[in-house]
Amino acid sequence: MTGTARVTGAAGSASRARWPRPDFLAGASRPPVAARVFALGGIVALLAAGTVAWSTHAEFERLARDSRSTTTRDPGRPRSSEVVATTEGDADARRAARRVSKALAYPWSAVLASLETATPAGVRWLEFDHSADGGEIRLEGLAADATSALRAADSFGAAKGWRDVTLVRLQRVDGRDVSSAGLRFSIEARIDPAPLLAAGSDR
Amino acid sequence: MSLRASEPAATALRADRLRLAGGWLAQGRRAVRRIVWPRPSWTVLVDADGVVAAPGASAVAPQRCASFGAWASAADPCRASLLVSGRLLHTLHLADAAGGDAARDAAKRFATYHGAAAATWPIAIDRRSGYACALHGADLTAIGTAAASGDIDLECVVPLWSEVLALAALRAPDLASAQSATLLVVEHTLVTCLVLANGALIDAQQRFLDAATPAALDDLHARLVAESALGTGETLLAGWGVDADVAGGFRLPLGPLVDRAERADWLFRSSEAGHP
Repeated sequence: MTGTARVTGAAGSASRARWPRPDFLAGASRPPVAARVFALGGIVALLAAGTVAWSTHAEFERLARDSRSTTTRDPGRPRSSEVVATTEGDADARRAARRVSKALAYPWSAVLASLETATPAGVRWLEFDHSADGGEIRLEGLAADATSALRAADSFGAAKGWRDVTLVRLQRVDGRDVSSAGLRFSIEARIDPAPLLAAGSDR
Repeated sequence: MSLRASEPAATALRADRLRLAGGWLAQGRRAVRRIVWPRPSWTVLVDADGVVAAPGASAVAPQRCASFGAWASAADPCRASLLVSGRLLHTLHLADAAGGDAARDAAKRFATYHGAAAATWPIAIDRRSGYACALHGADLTAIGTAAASGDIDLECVVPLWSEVLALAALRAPDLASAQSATLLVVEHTLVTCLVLANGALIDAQQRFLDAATPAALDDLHARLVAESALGTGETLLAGWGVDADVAGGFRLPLGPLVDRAERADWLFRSSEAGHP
């Protein structure tokens, strides 16, 4: 043998190109340009999707790592400023909810019923200031005369649940009409809801 | 009412579009797969008795199967180059193969020689050389369907003689520069005579031997010489199916003739081959 040549089962492309080669598939089953464009687009889309997935995964890993390190540093403390804000916001909300719940549970009807029962004739109420948080109550009223105002103070002092009833102001008012003329007075007291509720249930 | 009447047509149109898009997507998927994951390449000889197939880069001996469909259903996904035996096709030369009517001219010529049945034969044309082949002995559509169902990528479907010519020229480089030469491609009793002049194929015709013997081959050669059907130069021989070794008067660029196609290793796989 004087030399060697690499021969393939399907002859080399240069040799093929030189000699006739009628191909029954020519132009028939070759992928059309659209298929090649699809293929190229598919590869690009896969690469883009892979890049996005990788960056998302890396970001997720970073956040998870940060979270773990913060927890390890001081498990008893809030992990970040956002968490602190969220916790304080939750506490405020819980306090507000408790206040609303307490106000709703207060025996307003018993207090108002007692006020109505103890109010003597000749007295009209102008202002009512009472809160469910504390027991203090302040009443502003208009009386035809001083006797009516004193009688109102005495009536509240004798009623169940009313304590420390004091007539703190008594002032003559000259109204422009008959209905607004008389004595303006203020009563301050403390209310204990429990006896009011017991009196209500007795009735 | 008119809307109901148009619904089947619209549905059919949508189905056609889906099929078209599905076909393109499948081709795109195959193209991506070829780029990302090249498949092993097989050489498949299609002849009158079935197929003989072997992987190009393996020591696995060529195996015969009853049909291309049987091979495709059993084979792993791969690329396949199909070489069609001369028994399954006819070859002719077109005076003007570069024009747009070459396929119609070829069909008319084949119909003239082989009758109306030729009108349905698939035709392959090498426009540069003008040679056209008509596939009369195999169902190209069935081959394509079997390849698709077996996940086989068909690389080409070409005549056996074109592959043997390219291989012989590779082993015998002087063939391309010879003023005149002849290559006889032997498949048992079928001989395809390829006449070359100055590196170009100038004639291709099929002849039959009286018997698959060296004597019958000598007789045929003598007749061809008498008819001036061969080139004036050297005659080369390649193929299989003739019982005994043939050496006298012939040059064997691809090695001695073997008894059957399954033993023609030079056709099916890569090899390191010396040339004398």
